[in-house]
Amino acid sequence: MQEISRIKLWSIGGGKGGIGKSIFTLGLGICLSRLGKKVILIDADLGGANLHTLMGVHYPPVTLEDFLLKKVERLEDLIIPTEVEGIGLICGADDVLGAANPTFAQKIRLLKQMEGLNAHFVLLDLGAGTSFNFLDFFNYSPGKIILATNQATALQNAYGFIKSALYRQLSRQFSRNGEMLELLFQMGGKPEDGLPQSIRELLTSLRDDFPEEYAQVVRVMAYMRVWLVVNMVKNTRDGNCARIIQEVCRDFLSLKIDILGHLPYDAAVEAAINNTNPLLLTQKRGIAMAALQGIAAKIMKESRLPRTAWVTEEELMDQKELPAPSEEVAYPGYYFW
Amino acid sequence: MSSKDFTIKLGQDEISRILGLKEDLDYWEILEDAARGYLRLGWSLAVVDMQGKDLGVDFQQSPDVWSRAMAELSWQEVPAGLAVRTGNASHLLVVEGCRGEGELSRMDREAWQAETIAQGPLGRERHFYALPEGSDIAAVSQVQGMTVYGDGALVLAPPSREPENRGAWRWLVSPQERPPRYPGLQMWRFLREQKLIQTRPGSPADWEPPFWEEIYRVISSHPRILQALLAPAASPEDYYREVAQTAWAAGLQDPGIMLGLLWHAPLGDAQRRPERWEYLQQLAADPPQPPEGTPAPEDGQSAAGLLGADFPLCHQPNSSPEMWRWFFQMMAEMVARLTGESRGDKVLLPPWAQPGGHGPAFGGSAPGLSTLSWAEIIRTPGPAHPLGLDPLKSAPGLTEGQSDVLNTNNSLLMAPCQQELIYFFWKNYISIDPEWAGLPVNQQLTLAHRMAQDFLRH
Repeated sequence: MQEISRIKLWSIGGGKGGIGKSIFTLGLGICLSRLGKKVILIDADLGGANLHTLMGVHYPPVTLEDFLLKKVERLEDLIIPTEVEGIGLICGADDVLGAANPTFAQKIRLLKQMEGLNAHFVLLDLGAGTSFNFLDFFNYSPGKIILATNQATALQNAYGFIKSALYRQLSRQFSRNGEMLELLFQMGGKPEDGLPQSIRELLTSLRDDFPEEYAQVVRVMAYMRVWLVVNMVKNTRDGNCARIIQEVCRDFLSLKIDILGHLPYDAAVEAAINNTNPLLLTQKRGIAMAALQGIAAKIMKESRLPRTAWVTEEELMDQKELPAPSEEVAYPGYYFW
Repeated sequence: MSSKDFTIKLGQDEISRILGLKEDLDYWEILEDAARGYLRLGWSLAVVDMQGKDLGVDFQQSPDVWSRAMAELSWQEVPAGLAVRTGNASHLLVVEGCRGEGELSRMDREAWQAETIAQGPLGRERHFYALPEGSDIAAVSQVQGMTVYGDGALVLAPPSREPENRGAWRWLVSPQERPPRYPGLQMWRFLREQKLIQTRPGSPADWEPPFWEEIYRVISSHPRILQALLAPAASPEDYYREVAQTAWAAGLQDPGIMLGLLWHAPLGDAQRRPERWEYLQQLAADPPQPPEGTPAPEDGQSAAGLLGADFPLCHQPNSSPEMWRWFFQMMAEMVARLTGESRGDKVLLPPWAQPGGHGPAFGGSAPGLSTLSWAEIIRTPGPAHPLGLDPLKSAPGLTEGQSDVLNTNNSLLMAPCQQELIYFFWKNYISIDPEWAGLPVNQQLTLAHRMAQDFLRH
């Protein structure tokens, strides 16, 4: 049985644009570097790569495009040193992945090299939306962070991203099983047609008659752990919005979402964005940076803990009489490649 | 189907669940904010379910504790609301009913209308009154189209929702804008006649002060008392002492009338502070003596006389235009002082515009005026009345024909809130002044109109 341990690759997604994914990624990187860790930030925001702008790099000399078009052989050759000690940056480029239309093989090559980078942490800043590329990056990363704000639309998009990621993973798992794909696709349809309305109902319907499929779904679920961060929190109630995602994910996806922390709204962050100067974040110990420091410490701890899976099957279903999966659980990052 | 074609969208039930939870979260947030405000007013609160059962949030604990308890309840998705414990727990008496129904249709508007009013579904209103010290009131009583909430009752307060999505309560006039005051005399007498309220002997609740009209008839011939009533002082105690001393010096030595005068005194705080009652009693029984050398009280110059030659309908031979101007100057200064702002800012009519409920004096919808600026009042045509009223047409004591006199008489003061001001002067000065009470109502209104004009010019 493989271990999920020493998590290096963390993806930051959230579905909605403008909720602060890039600045969160940057701030987290700064906090981890303050803890003495070597960090590489990768901008995978394909629709509007701007992490480099936030870091004060206006014209990146090399980007991911150079790697995907094989102009650069090794990913590490794309790393640009930054003004912040301990942080390297790999720049994205507008729609480079869309233009290059990478195959799975290309994505594997990219992701494997990301994991192999010489750093303690690799933070992947995903863009807005739920394209397959983002979902695949997210699913491949052992560390999965979703960012949301208290806005209803942001909550909806955050949940939508998690659901899309889970179903993408399931669809890859059953890529050669047309019936299962059809069932997954039709889930949530009319209950009177006997269609499952939630993952729990799906598992219940598979448990007795399709034990193999059941086991595969359980395996995917067992490795799907998502951490949630609520950004731009102005009061306690804003922070409580995280619980909305938790409740809905529990009810419809049978996923337990962990809250990594809340980031208070902080004018110092806005100043750092407006001035495209990351040093403003490092110099000013604002309330957001203090909260980020707490999140960084939590990530350090989570990254070190060895475990075989995020949740047990019993925890997943809250029903101990469920049959155990018939085969060993494999590392989820590999079984859809 | 291949995994490449696989697309995901959110189901209606998922979206509804997210939006529903968010709405609940927002709802509990505003309940919490409201709770903080009510606690500042000294109200006793509870969180109740839709059956009215107390869900056990202890508001006597620190805000952190009860806030957490409310947050936990919010996640249990139990429909609930914020309730006020009426009666002595919060010094509140709440009367619920619909305008124009039952006993309320027979009462004058100002007798029933409280300072603090909440509106709920189906046009129901809850009028929040201060409960006089020394009152005992039944928990919940239904009588003649009204529900009266007293000791031990829990009443949903804004912005709580009614059960089964029947709508939410909202403030028409919030307690922060206008704290609850004692019920009007008519309402008070009704509640006592119905035996809904028992008063302890010797307590403020057991005392019924004279109507303002009675007080005014006595003092209208003493401008110095009027002056004292309108003159701000460094503290409420100084103010009451000055009024009592002036009244005593003017020959007003009946303790009952003196107590009534102090009770109605416009710049006092007795009607908001029950603890003032004992002080007023002492002051009325033993008013301070004027210092030696104080001029003797003037005779023969009534409040009507203050109008002087500026008022053609005034027949007072010794009237003094100077005094009249002084009178309005004082009122304007008092208003400015009460609001703490200049004329360009908000207007607040004297607190006796809607009295501590003892008598129907100072009727009219002063709450409407209180929210308007001087500029708005003076502007022609003026803004619509905030409560959607046509004050003179709906004014108790006036017929439509009588109020129409103003429409033909001038064009300056016809905005609804300006009419309100005219009504205010008519009701509280002209109609009860011995000099003018005998004039035809049309002429009284013309006088009131002139008073309002002069008031606004100052």
